[in-house]
Amino acid sequence: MPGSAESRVKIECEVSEEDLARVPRLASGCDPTGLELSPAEGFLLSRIDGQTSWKLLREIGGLTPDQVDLCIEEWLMEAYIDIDGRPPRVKRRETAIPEKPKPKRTMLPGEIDESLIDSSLDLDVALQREILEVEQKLECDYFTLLGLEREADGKEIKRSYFVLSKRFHPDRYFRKNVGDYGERLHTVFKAISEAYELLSDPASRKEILASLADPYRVETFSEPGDPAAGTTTSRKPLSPVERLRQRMLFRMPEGMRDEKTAQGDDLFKAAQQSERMGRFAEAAANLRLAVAFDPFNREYKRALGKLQAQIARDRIEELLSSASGGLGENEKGEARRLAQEMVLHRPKDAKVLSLAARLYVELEDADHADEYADRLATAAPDDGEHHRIRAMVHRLRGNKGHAVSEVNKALELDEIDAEAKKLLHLLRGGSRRT
Amino acid sequence: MGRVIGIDLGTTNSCVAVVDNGQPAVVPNTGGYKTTPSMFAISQDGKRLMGHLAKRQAITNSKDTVYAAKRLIGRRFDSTEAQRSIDLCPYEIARGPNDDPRIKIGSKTFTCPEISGIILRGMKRVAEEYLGEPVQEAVITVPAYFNDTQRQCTKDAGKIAGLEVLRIINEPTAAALAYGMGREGDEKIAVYDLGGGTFDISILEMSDGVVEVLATAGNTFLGGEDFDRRVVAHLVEWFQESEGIDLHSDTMALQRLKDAAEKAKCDLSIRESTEINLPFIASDAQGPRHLNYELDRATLEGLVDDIVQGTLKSVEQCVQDAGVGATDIDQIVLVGGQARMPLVQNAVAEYFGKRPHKGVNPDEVVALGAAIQGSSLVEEEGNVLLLDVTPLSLGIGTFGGHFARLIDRNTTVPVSKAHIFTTTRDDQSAVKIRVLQGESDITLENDLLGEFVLSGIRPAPKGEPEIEVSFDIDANGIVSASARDTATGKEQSITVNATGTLSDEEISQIIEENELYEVELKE
Repeated sequence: MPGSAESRVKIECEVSEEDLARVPRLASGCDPTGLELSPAEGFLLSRIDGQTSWKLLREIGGLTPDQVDLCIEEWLMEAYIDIDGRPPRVKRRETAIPEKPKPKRTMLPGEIDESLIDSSLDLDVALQREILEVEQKLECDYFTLLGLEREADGKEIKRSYFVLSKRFHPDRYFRKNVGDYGERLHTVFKAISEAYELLSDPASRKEILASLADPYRVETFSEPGDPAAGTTTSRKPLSPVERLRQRMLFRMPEGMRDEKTAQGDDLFKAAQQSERMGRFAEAAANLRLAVAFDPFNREYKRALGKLQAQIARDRIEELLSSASGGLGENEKGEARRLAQEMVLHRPKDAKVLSLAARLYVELEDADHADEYADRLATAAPDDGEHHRIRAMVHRLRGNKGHAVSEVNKALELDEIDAEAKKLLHLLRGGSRRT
Repeated sequence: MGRVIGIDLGTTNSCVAVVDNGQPAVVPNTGGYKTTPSMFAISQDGKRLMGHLAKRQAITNSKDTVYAAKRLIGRRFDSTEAQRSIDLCPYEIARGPNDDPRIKIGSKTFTCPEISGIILRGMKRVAEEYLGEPVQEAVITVPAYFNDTQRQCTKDAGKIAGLEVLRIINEPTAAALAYGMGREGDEKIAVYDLGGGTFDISILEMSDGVVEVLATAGNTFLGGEDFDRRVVAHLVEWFQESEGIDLHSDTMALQRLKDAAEKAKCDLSIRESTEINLPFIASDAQGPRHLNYELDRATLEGLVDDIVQGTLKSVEQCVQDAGVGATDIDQIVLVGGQARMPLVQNAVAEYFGKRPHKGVNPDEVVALGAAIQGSSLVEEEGNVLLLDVTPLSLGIGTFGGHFARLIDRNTTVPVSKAHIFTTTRDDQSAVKIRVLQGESDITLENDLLGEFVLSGIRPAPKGEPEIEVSFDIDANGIVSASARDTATGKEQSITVNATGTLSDEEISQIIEENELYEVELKE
């Protein structure tokens, strides 16, 4: 977290309901890789996709609501994210808490921490500086690390690797008193030799260039024919694990890669077989394994997403149809989880969004239902469904005037909309009774 | 701190070198020889002998004279390689308590690191007498195909000899260092090393003092001695035909034949034909028999041609692994006494389409390279840098008995690699990480280096948890492995200690015992 004060000040937030309903998004042009985040915070940042509300982030962000608020607020102040282009209205109370170990300060490019320079070591001070400088480059892409242009040819890559090796190979400082620099040299050398290995192999070099062209490339589970697909690809920063997973395949020796791919294929076929026979849970388990074996195969991921959404959807429908007497507490929890999972995998599928919204209406959770109605309005603006759901939401909130106007909008789109007529009837009947 | 010596601990001969005023030089022993036979014997009057002294009495004392112990070091008694030595060697090989082969001389049993230790101690003394100062540190070479156990046993042998072994490096790499020292520009070189007992081929790339190993291949059980054996078998067969006497169970005759075969083989490298003269080789009712045979180069080449062609298969594999073509190789460096043979030189020249480099002495170049590596480690401004590689792949055992490689062989060290694995059962709460070394895709066929368990994985459907397994090898070749559950952050790790066949106590006990025999080892 970007805390810079000497003793960290915990900011207690009371976020207004209005702000909670708002949807934060990553500020354009911002590079979040400069932030120093814990994995949990990184996860939260990755959930900020311009679609998930602050409130939902509190629930699914993996942190406590307080922590979520604190992160969002700080990122807003640092202008890494914004909310509808407006500053949030947040009331703050400041309470000092005991000093924690000082977080490592993020260094600006080219800037090094002078306190790390130790003139008592058997290592030239200039060289120490050089090591610290390279160490900072470790997070950069492989070309930058080796000091190369992206067009560099095999000879240039090798030359640069040899020059850097001569400088940073731990053997050059064998038995010298180098303090912490021993560990640093190991890290630096391993990174440059990894860069060299990957850039020298045409296949991995191609992958690296592709990922550099689109650093936040993420897998979406939309089907190729999905009209909503590709319109607003969210830009998520990669967590360290995600980055590892991306690199993993082309870091693998070829034989292993082939074997894994073959295993993935077998599992995928088994999954298709299970799916045909209606054994969805078994199919999903096989698909998960297939993805684990061959994480780059988009087909597997798409199939898994589709299947998981399908399973969630079936279960929700089952819950809804058997819920004439209302859902029990356990079932409500399950339904919420399922809805989230279903939407996660098919974020732009109108049927999924509508089912989720209807579920929340059933659960009398107007806010969530409203959020999904919003998303539905984007996904399928010409269908009356989002108006019908909004009408139900307004009805839940006791706002009949608005409800009626939404029903009318639905009827404008389709004058024989039976459900809308029924709703209208219900609303009128309700109004007569009061 | 004294100087670091480089020792080429060979199957048949050993050589020691040192860097003096920036110049690497081979140290001759007191007899003036630049190489010393890797032989050890206990004479009939109980004296311990090594080197030329041991070799000289080998004929009359073949049962108590040990040679080619390098073929046994770090192997299990039941391995094919050890069993083959048992069939071939006149000295007695017994099963040791750790399933290691041990050598019986008279009433005393020696471990293989102990025998090698005695040879190394001899080489250490050669250097000390030449330099006039004590020597404590060494770089020792081994064939590129030696596994961890064999390397560790060689290190133990160094310890027994009273040496601190700074590094164990590969013989072909050492040869490349010696060839490349002081050379400028970029070159790809092939080191073809056909020694007494092993064959190695390596492709290396060097540029202004940096040496990178591109690929290595070879056979740890093929070398000049196989050539000798072919000649011996030929002579035994000829003697049987012409004289009707079978020599193949007469150990003394065999030892004489072996020596004569080796000499004839060397002669034929410079001459077209040579005479083998062994008077009184046998006797029967008609009295003593003499062996007198004219061996010519063509006959010798006919006897060993298939062995030479066999080495070219390894060369082909190595060239492919290196991702180069045979004609991309700028220079061929020949190493090992057997590489002097014209048949070998011609075969290699034909394969690469160019003649091998003439500037290095095949018997000395490995020791020189080891000395160069030693001095470049400890000197202020070392002029060469060796980008060394792991000899064997490292990985873990996975579902279905498959071996998943994390670090491929020939990967430059130091190195760290990570990979994500998952569970294979629903609600699996623990995974066992088995760290293995080897080239087989089947877990069981590789060597187990260590294992540990990562528990506390959150219940989840199979395939869902993510276990990040990382391997690390540092510049000294020490391997560590860790596993982390990415969901909980829980982590487990081990440092894998390569184990030789001897415990530390056994080693110190051996060192103590050998102190007693210091003096007799002198030549």
